[in-house]
Amino acid sequence: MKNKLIKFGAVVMVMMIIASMLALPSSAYIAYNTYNYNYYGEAVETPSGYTPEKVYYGSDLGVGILNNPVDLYVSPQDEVYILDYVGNNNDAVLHIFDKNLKLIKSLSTLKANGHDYTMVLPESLVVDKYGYIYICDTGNKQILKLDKDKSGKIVQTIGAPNSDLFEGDFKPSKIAIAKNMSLYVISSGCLDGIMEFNEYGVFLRYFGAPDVQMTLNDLVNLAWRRAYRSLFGKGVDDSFLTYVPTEFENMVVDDYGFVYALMATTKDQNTDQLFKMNFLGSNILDPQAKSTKKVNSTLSATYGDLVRRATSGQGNIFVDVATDSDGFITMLDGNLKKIFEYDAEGNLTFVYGGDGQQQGFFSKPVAVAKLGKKTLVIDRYFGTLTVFDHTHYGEKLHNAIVLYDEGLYDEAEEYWDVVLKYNANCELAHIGLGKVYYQYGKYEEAINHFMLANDRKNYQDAYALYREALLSDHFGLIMTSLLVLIILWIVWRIFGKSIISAIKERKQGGGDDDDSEIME
Amino acid sequence: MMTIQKLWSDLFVLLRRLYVRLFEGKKNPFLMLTHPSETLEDLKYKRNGSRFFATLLLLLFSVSAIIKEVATGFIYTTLRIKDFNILIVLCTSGILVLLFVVGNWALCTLLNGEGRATDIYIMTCYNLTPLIISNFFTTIMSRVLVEDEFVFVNIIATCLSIWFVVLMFYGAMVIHNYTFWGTFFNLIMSLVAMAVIFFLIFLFVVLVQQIYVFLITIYTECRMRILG
Repeated sequence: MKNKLIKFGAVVMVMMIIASMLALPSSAYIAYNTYNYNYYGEAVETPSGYTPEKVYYGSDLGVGILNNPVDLYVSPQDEVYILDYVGNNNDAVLHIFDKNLKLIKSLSTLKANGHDYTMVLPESLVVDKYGYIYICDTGNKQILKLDKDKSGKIVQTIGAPNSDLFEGDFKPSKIAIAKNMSLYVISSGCLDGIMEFNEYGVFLRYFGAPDVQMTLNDLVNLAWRRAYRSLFGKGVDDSFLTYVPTEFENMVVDDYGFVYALMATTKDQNTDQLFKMNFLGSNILDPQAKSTKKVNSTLSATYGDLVRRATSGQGNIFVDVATDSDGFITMLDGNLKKIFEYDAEGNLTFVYGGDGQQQGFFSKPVAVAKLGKKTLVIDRYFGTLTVFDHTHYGEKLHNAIVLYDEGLYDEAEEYWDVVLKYNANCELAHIGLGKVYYQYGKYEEAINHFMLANDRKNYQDAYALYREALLSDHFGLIMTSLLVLIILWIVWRIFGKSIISAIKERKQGGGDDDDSEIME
Repeated sequence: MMTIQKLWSDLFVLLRRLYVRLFEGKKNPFLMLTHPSETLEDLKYKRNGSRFFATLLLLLFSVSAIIKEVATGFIYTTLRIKDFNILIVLCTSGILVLLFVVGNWALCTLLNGEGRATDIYIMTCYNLTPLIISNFFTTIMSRVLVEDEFVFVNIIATCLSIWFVVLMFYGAMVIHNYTFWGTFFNLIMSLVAMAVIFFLIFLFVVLVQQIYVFLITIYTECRMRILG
């Protein structure tokens, strides 16, 4: 008996060890937890949607060392451009890679009319659909257009615009290009919005300057100054403070010509951090209208971490934004070192990255770009390029969202099912499935899913139809019981008094007294 | 077997008496809704009010408020049951009414009100009936109707609330024998008195906490010194 037990125990032990050995390598381990926010604005753990595929150092890329990379761009031809500063003089070098990250060319000296040209602290670059490279040569206060054969020949320079609208210094820092070859430029120190140039380098207009946000402190300050001026005839330090729009931090233009602009906000400012601007420069992203709207009114932020932070400098400071062909918006937070991904409607899909030194963490991330489905991030401190790829879960969720946005609810159903198996808390999946069932006429399932997603608007629509179906199913029963009740009531009205008196007569003699005051 | 039968018959008798007392006796609290004037005169001069029913209505009001908080339909509430706090609900229903009674009585004894504390209590609790009806009605309807149809429920609930305010106003006027503007002033000041009482309670709790901490500190200190 004892022997048998020991044998059995040994077999179980061996099986467990084998099982654990088999189980270990099959699960790709990710060092951080990813999360999403539920309806109440609480962070809920989710499976991760992206996993760090590889971290490339300069030597892996064949460029020796990435010293001080500042910008990253993926061209329409799927070539990867990295702008780097090398040496003690911070000489700018432009590395060009193909889509497998094999080095094509490194441009360190440029040619302008046969002479050598050196860039001074350029900050960003873009490439148009023909292959022309545009570099913001911030130190030289102009934009360079390089030839498409990647020889480094400057074919055009765009300097300070010759316009009445323009005043001050032209310090182009961020650049983006649309499919119609309009150049969008953010000039640092310029508060009128984004500058637009046409394809010949002619300044067209400013657009997109946001409204000035006044805090309570500002308003009090302003009121006090006005009072002072009206009392004493002249202002107190009139020239000290002016209220002007905040500068944009960075931007990108998608295939449809929408400009996604980022704004760095301080703790007490309640502005949006992300603007999706149409041609007129008005923000078409409405955080109040997105399907996973939060109920908690104390959350001031609509993007990034939905946590009120006690001190300034602790919250999100977004430094770069990228979009892909499916409309997903990837925002890079330079302060918390995280990447937030939103779908085209502005619903948070994934959060990944973080502060640290392991694979998939960053120390000073400065630029993000999408290469197909992959996310590329460069870290200025470590001089690395990190490539993130989808997990199975992330891929399914993306497919489902894309199909859902196109209105193909039926096709999205199988993807939503997979997503829910990974993550039963996924509100987007519940909304998607609810809509599928709603279309099929399965209202009970639909209202269950809408309830789990806390989507009250769709819940109501489904519920109204559910109630209607329920009523028409049981119409006979309801009407019969109503009729019976009415008949009973009529009978009571006619015969009720005689029945009561008959009962009283029978009880006479031994009946209890009704007026006793036991409950005083 | 016999005891169970006895229990049932006792219960039946109790319910019957309650029914008779409620609807056929002279102390019907629901008469306040339809005949406030007579009921108040009875209450004031013939002492014909029932503290028992008043307390029952107050409890019913608290229960209705709790049920409204917990059982309102999904469309109209974002409350999760884990965020539900019964103390807060009681403080905004039953305890608030008690606070009003105390505040009103304290004020009216100073300002030549004729009402006794019992009268104020019974009057206030009887007047809660519209609010109880409104609470139960909206709770049931919120589980049946969608937002477009809910307007009618809101209208009815508003009417019931206005009815409650009118009843309270009239009740205070009769009980204390005030003029119209006197009643108005009296009710406003009652709210102020409630705020003051709340403040004092708050202060008291904080001070007691301070004293408690002080005594605990002394105790700890002594123990440390003596026991080393």
